[in-house]
Parts: sequence; structure tokens; C-alpha cells
Amino acid sequence: MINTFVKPILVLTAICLVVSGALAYVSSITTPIINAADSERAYIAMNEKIPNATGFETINLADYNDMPKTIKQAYRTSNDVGNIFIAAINGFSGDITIICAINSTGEIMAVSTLSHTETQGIGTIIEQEPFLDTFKGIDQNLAGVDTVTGATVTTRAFIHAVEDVMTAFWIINN
Amino acid sequence: MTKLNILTRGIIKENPVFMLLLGLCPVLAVTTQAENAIGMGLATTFVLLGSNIVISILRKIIPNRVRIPCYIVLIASFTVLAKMIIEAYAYPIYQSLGIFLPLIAANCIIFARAEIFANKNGSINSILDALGFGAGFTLALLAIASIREIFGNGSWFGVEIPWLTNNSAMIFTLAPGGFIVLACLLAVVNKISKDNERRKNIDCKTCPNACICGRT
Repeated sequence: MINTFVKPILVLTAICLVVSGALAYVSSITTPIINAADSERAYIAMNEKIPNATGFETINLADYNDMPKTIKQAYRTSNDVGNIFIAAINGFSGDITIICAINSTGEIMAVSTLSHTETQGIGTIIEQEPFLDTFKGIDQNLAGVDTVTGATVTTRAFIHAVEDVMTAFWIINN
Repeated sequence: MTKLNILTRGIIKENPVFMLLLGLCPVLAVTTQAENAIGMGLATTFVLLGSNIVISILRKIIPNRVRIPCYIVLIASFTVLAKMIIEAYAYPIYQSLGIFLPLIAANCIIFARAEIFANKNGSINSILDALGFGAGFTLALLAIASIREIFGNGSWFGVEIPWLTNNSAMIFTLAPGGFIVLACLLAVVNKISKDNERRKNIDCKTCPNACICGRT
């Protein structure tokens, strides 16, 4: 009885526990490195989005009430030509991280995907220009932006993230 | 079976790709560039080594009834481990391997070695077995990737080859090219591996899967 029912459960549980602990430990070592590399790539991406910016300053998100939870980082440009937001939202499978540049009048300059784990060939539409270009120059009403058939969940999440970025922009610049 | 035998049979006699035809999904998918092939081969070897060591140590503790879930947990964890390390320290490889890096968890070579070898043998032998099969897998990937990169892209490990760069055959880098190269290599390997002899007297001695089916 003990050998047939209790022991297998105990062994499997013990293995799962030990393994989870080991993975958590390695994750605690690699996550800072991965995050640092991510933010460096993000910085390069920011420079591409607002080429005429002289520099970027981090905005402390904790200073503002009602900031959407999806907003992870926000930056203002030193010469006040716009803001950059990095937002992460739950997509079809896992987080979609986007970077969005908004000019000082509240219009989107450019938006692109930093990282995602959506379905290859379907959700990857959020990396491609035909979809990303529909966001260019629009304001907080998001007129003319729509989900894409076949990748509804992914694109809806993407649009929600852009909406949150807009909300954050008006919270900061009010 | 001697230790040298255990080490070398994964490379030649029981090569996972050319003899056992296992793990063909990554073989076809990531062999467009020699660099990716090495990265994938090393990542798979790492997972194989880790899972073989742990499973051979725990083989007397893991009850027979839950051995498969145990192997799955262990192999999947080593895969996540490899993914985190590669993402942190080798981001370009992480990007080029894409979805096939986490899919190492479903690679049947690793599962087969756990079930066939590691749960019946000691740690030293299991390490040798993992190194042999890992090397065999890596070399097979490298062979296919070299051909595909040289003829499809006109380069090898990113170094451009004169003349071929301007006269590359695109099909080699696409999916059909993968199948064609694999099939041609299999034909060559079958030809030179004294396969005729094997076909004449079919029995357990000449079968590469003899140790799997367990009749001997």
C-alpha cells in the first residue's frame, strides 16, 4: 500500500520541489543579466524612435496615481520632444512587450514590439510594418486601428497596451 | 560493453540522426547555418548530460510507476535551465534558435537515452553515453548545416566563400533543401556503413535498435 501509492507521490513531489528551487535560484542569477541586456536594447530602440532627442530621462512611475499596471518604464526626452513608454501586456501566450513613442502633442510617432512569445507565423504580425504603421500619427482616440482577423487575441492585447500608453501619457503630461 | 564503446557508439554506430532517425524536427529546422547547428547541438548535449546524470543517480529511488513523469520534470527543468543561461550569456544564439530551444524538452533523443540507458546504468557510463550521443547529434547537425550554408548562403560560419556567395542556391536554406540534404546524407551513410551486409542477415546483432527493443 505504502509502496504503491504513497512512495510514488512523495518521490515525484520531492523531485518537483527540488527542481523548482534550483530553477528559482538560477533564475535569480540570470534575470538581472537578461533585464540589463533588455533595457540596453530598449535604449537603442528608443533612439531609433525619436532620433532628434538629445537624451532620455527615466520617469518615476510611483509618483503618479492611477498609472496603468501594464506600463513598465517611461522616459521623457531632455529637449521635450516626446515620451517613450515600455509596456508589457498578456497576449495569446505570455507577455507582449511594446515600446511606444509619443510626441509632445499626444500623437504616436512609432510603436514596435520588443519581445513576445506569440504563435510563429500568426501572432508575429505584431512585428510587421503593415500592422505597426496603422498606429502612426494617431491620438488617444485610436481612430483607424483595428484587430487583425486570425490574430485577434494578440492584436487586441497590443491595442490595449497602446491604449494604456496613451492613458499614461495624459496622466504624466497633465 | 567497454567504456570506449559506450562513448563512441552514439557518434557512429547508433548516430541518433543518421542511424536511429531521432530528433529530426530540430535537425531540419535549425540547420540553415553552421553556427546555429553548433548552438543547438551543445544545448541538447547539455540537457542530455544533465538528465542522464540525475536520472542515473536517482534510478533506484524513482518508483517504476512514476518514472515517466519524473523524467519529464527533470528533462524540462534542464531545458529551462539551458534556455535561461543561453538567453543571459548568448543572446544572438537564443534569438536564432527561437522556439526550438524550449522544444529540446520534447526531443526524443534525450527521452530515449533516459529510458534506455540512464535508468539501467551508473553515472559514469551515463555521462559517457550522454557525451557520445550529444557529440553524434552535434556532428550530424553540423554536417547538414555546413552543406546547407555553403551551397544555400555561400558562406561557412559566416565567412563568405568566393564565387559561391554570388551563385548560391536558395533552396538549400529553405525547408525542402533540408529534406533533400538529409536524404542525400542518409543515402551516403547507408552506403558506406556496410549496410548491405546488414540487409543480408537481418537479426538483432546488426540492428542499431537492438538495445531498445530488449529482446537480446
